[in-house]
Amino acid sequence: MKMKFLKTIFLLTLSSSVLTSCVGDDDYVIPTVFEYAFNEGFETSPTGSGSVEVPITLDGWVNYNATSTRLWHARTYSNNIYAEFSSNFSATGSNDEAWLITPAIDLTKSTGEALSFVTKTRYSNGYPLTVLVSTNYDGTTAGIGTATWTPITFTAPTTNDVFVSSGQIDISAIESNNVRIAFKYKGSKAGITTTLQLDNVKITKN
Amino acid sequence: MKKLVISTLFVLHAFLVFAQQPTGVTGTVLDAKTQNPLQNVVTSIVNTNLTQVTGQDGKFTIHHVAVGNQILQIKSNGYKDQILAVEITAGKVLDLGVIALEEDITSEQQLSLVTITENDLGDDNSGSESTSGLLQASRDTYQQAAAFNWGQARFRIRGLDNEYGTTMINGIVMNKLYDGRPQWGNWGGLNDATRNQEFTMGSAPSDYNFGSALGTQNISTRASSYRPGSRISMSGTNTNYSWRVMGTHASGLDKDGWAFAVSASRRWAKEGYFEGTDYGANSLFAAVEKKFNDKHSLNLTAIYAQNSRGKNSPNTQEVSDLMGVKYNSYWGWQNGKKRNSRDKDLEEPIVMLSHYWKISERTNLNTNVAFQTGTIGNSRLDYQLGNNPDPTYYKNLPSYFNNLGGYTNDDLTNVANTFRANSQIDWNAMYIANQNSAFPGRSVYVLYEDRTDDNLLNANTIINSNLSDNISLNAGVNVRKLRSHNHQNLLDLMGGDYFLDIDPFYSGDASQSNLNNPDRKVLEGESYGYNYLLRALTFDGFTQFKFTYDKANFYLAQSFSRTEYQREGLYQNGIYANNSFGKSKTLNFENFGFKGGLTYKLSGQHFFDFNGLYQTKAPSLRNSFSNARLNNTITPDLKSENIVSTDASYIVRTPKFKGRITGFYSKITDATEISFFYGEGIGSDDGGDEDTFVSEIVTGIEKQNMGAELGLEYQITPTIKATAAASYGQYIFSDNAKLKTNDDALAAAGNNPLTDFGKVYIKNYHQAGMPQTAASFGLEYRDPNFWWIGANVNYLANTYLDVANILRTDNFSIDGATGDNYTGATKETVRDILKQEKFDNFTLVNLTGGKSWRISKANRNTLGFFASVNNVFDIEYKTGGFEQSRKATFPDLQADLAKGTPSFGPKYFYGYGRTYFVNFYLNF
Repeated sequence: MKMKFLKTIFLLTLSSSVLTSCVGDDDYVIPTVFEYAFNEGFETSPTGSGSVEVPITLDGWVNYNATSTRLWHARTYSNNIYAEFSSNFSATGSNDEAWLITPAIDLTKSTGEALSFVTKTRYSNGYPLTVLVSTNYDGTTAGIGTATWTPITFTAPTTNDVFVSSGQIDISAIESNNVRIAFKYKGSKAGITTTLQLDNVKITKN
Repeated sequence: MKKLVISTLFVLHAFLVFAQQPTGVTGTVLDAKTQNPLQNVVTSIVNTNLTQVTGQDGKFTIHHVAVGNQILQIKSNGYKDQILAVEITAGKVLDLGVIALEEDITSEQQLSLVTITENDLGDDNSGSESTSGLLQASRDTYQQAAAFNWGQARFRIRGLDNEYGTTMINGIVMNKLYDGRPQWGNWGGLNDATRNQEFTMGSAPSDYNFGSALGTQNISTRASSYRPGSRISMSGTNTNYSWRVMGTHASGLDKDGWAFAVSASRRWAKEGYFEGTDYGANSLFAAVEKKFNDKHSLNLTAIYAQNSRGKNSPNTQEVSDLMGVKYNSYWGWQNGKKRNSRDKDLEEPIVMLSHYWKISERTNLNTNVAFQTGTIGNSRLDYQLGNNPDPTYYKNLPSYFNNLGGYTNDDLTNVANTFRANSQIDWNAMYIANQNSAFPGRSVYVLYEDRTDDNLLNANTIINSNLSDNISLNAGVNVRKLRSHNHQNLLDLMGGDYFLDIDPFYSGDASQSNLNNPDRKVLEGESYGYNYLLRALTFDGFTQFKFTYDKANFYLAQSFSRTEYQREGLYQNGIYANNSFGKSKTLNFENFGFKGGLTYKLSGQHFFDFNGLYQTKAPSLRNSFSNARLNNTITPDLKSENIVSTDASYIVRTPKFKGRITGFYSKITDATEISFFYGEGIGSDDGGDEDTFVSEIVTGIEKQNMGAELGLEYQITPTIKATAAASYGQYIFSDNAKLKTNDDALAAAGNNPLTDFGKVYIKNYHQAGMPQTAASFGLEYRDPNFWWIGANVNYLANTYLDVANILRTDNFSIDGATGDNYTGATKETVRDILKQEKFDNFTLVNLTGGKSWRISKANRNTLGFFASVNNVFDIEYKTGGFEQSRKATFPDLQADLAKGTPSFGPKYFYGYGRTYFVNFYLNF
């Protein structure tokens, strides 16, 4: 009797220790793959070419020129669609302050967010782009002027004709459901006319 | 007066002797078949230190046995154990009369086993073999199933590589310092001569060595321990060889104290199971012993085993589908003969002098000095600025054109037909290319071998003492000194006059193998490419105390070792001009181990057994220099391994039923693995065709092996026996590791050759290349007229493909240019593409049988045969394989897989289909 009891205990411990830490065929880990709180590659935007410019009208985005009429527009090259602006094609004497602003992004439900995007310059004669973030912008064109915009530091291209990543910009400190990222092109026909191409605006999260 | 004193003493003495009328047991052991006395049979009282060996007349007497019920165990190699319950009465020597031992059929089976332990796994040129050769002569039902029934499917006990086992000859450790694995071929074909073996399982105590987590195997070659007689056997099989002849003679100890044993064998095949795998092996063995007196004996052993065999290629699924699983891309026709380009040649003779010193009745000291010298060569084709001679080169296959796109099905069929027509190495084309070389006389193609020339001096001394009736001590020290010369040796210029010692992949100094002798013309038999020495000096010692009591046995052991490694470059390599020539820093490791265990006896038939081990283990020589061929760099982040291992068993031993169930757990941390491959998308991708030769350094590997094993044996009737065995294991990587690469191309461009890839995400991947689940059921009928037949069914499952580490780093999923996921890489797609392949389960049926005849009544002359058929139903199954590392990023791999037939898909090894083994033998 006593022996049977011992045997049972022994077998139970044995089998339980084997079963408790069982690893299934699908329990393996994988290398880092980022997940996005926001991801826009402009791939659905209709594109123009030559002098035909088709402004970006993505849902929730704000596309607005504070000082003139031309807007950020979509173009395609090598099977990739991106947003572009250049003052080279603006009217003589005009100035451009072209804003391309993302929809409101909710960062309150995620952690470890990092912003990244890629930019490319062509025919560079000065760098026209600033990137800003706001949590109190109301989404109207009038509100652009009154919202609080904080500039973001990012890596800009040093040579023409290659897309360069901004780097992973840590924005995990921002806790708001109304986060807007703005891309502001400032140039003029007489001044900076650099062609600026923007693509793959992403916010990764853990 | 004096006389009186003396006679009184005599009388007293006689009286004392009378008073101490010995208490014990005696008997005579005979062979059941021949009725001849058996010498050197080990008889012992279970759970004590009392042991005696039978003399020439088969007699034994054990004195000083405690009064009461005792268990007498009678053991001899080649015979079945006998366990007898005896009742010892005070003052009486119990005479058991004649005890007949029946021949153990597994000893015949052993002879067929070797054929499945001599293949190589993996694509590297590692000198030794990584399959299980342990356990050949074990008596444990489970271990026998593992060796005889599961071995063909590359089952590994507890999922452990045999670098965690200790293989010894006379207590001298035979595991290579280079990679920690024993080189079975060093005594291959000498089955008769290496039959005297002792095993321990897991971390259970061995009398000869501290051991590690897998167990120990000690082969004794003491000449007087061989049963006198001669044996000739001849075998035929269709595994890696076709024929074997073997002859053995042992003299037994003569009146003058001399004994000798000799054995010789030859094994050969024009072509083994796989295409183009030729085989030739000659083995010689001699042992001579002189017994000087009761205290001292000297034994000299000489072992010469030479082996040359053609290897077979692992193949991608595409190639197997086109050519069948026996296809081997390594051979080609030359002058009407199949010539294999990848031969393994092994010739490392051993001489060993052993001194046996019986210091007292209770204490023995055994000292051995061994010297081993010889060569291992693995041949391969080399070429400069010619086309890749590999018939399965990816550009020769339909998948390449299919993946390029733009080819019709007819085009692809044509490519397949062209490949089938040119599926072997074209030796003639290479000879012609050499004749038409752009530089007259300079060979474009040559055959070379990766050569290792070792000189190993090995000495040990082992003491074995019964300190008291209940306590025994084992202790030993072992010193090894190795000088290993590693070089690329030119074998065949293939019609050319010379080969140039440069690497044409690079230019300028970087192209020079040896700046001290640039642009050298290499002739046959000369070294080139790389040339270096590895030196190792190790010392290890252990002590072990075993305690034996009525209710429980237990033991405690500890070990210490010191290891010293150094590399010395003989060439100043152009890529690594500053750290390739001369001596490296000396590496030192100090390691220790503790273990203990307990056997608790519930009764004479029921036991609990527990073992526990903790030890640290120096990294192998192979893993200590990360780019040993070219420079003195010490593997970054190199550490000693930590090993924790425990097991617990419940054991039943009744006359009819034997059973054991064991749970085991082991964890190995800080393990290191270095491998070499051509990579693409790894750092210095130049977009070229051949890409770059990379050594991959994985450190901090953590392996966890746990599971349960079961062995049952039931004697249904005196003639019918049923056996069952099972192993259920889970062998995984229990954490992520770290990966760095060394890339010669980076160094050649003046950059740091080391690239840190950070974490390798391998947690919860399975360790590869062995079935993690195995079960066996067998029935055996033994007719009293000395014939027998057996059959067993085996189920093998959960074998996994070896995954490529480099594909499991962030480099795979994250685009270095954007710092973001590669396009299309999501958690789901990445998980999907990196899933570890699990091979199909399979069931193998094996049949065995044999018969022996007694030729004459006067002596033990017998004639017999043993036959087995393995895998009766000719089941095709994969035994292992590995992912190629060439498509190292998500988009590259996805593109390669896009059309279903990748150009760089995994390569697989296959098991044998139906094979047979027949052995005829004559004992006289």
